Amino acid sequence: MQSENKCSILKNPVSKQSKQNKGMSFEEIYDTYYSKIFRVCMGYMNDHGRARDVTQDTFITVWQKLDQFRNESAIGTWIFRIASNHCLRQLEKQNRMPPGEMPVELEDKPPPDTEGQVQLLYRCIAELPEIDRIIISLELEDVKQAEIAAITGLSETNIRVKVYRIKEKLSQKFKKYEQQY
Amino acid sequence: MSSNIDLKALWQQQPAGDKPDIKAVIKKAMGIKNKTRNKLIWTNLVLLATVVLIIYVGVNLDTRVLTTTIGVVLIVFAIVAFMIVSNGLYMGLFKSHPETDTFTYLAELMSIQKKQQFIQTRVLKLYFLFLGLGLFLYMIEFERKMSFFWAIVSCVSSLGWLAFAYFYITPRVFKRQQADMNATIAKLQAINKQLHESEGAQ
Repeated sequence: MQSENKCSILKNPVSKQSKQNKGMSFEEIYDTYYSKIFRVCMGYMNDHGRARDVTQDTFITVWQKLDQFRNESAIGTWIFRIASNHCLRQLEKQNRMPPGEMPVELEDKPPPDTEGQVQLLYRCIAELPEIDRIIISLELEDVKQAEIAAITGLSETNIRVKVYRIKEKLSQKFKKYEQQY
Repeated sequence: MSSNIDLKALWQQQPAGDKPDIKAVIKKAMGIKNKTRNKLIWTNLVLLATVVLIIYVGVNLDTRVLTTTIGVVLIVFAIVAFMIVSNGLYMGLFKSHPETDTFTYLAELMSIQKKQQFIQTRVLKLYFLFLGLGLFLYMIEFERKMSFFWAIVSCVSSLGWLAFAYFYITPRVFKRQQADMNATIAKLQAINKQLHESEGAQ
């Protein structure tokens, strides 16, 4: 009975039709934003398993709340907000749940090999304070600064200053690590 | 070299790996949500059945002793109040708003954490206090009709069980949760401070 209910959630044509926005179905949103959201989560956590879990959590929320989205902001801004807040929410879950447990356990593949400099960038970002991590991840994901302001609740001027400072800090970290290795 | 690093180009090179089948993800997540909801419904039903039973017994008792009536009222009050407060918290958890901006969401998270902490400390203490007191008053009438030995046995076993639950089981369960919660609240406050400092710096 319960499994029938679960299946009907996905098959119900009414709910499927309502899970659309400006001509974009949920599946299209998922295809368009999956990699972007994953990178933002990686920027925050620098942990492949956790980033994958939080990306999944984000899209579950998007699926649940898409009906309530009222076009007050761009769909991208709305999704990035959900992702940033899910990243912050990880504070609570870190102690309770080992990584890779929620909600679908994929085959436990090792994280892909990435270039040294890419790894270094994500490592440097993960060492920043939480809000800075979110801001720089969104900036590097090409989100407009006005949108970053709407996502974080900070002013646009503040975001501009912060982005400049964080980039400087990142460059210094890069230099430092490059000298070390 | 470092001054010319193209951060955006490097950022984009991070592979996202295989995309999971979103339908399977949603199906499983809904399953977990349903399980949590069903657990909550069952807990409520058991508590409600207990309340109904206590009221039924209380109404049908041929008693003229005031302590028994007060005992029944206190027990029912303890259970109903606990149900209302804990259900209110769970409803709040189901209705959090991750689509709001970080400022608002952090405030919401902190409020949820504090409410949870409040329930696990004060509300639970009051629950045990009212339940214990109610049980004690309720039993007076019946214990007076028992022999001294059986009155002591019945009093020690029921109040002893409550004391065991309150002093041993509950602290063990909540000790770890409290530590996690305090750590989370401290961390949330630290992040909140980052946001406020950013705004203050302007």
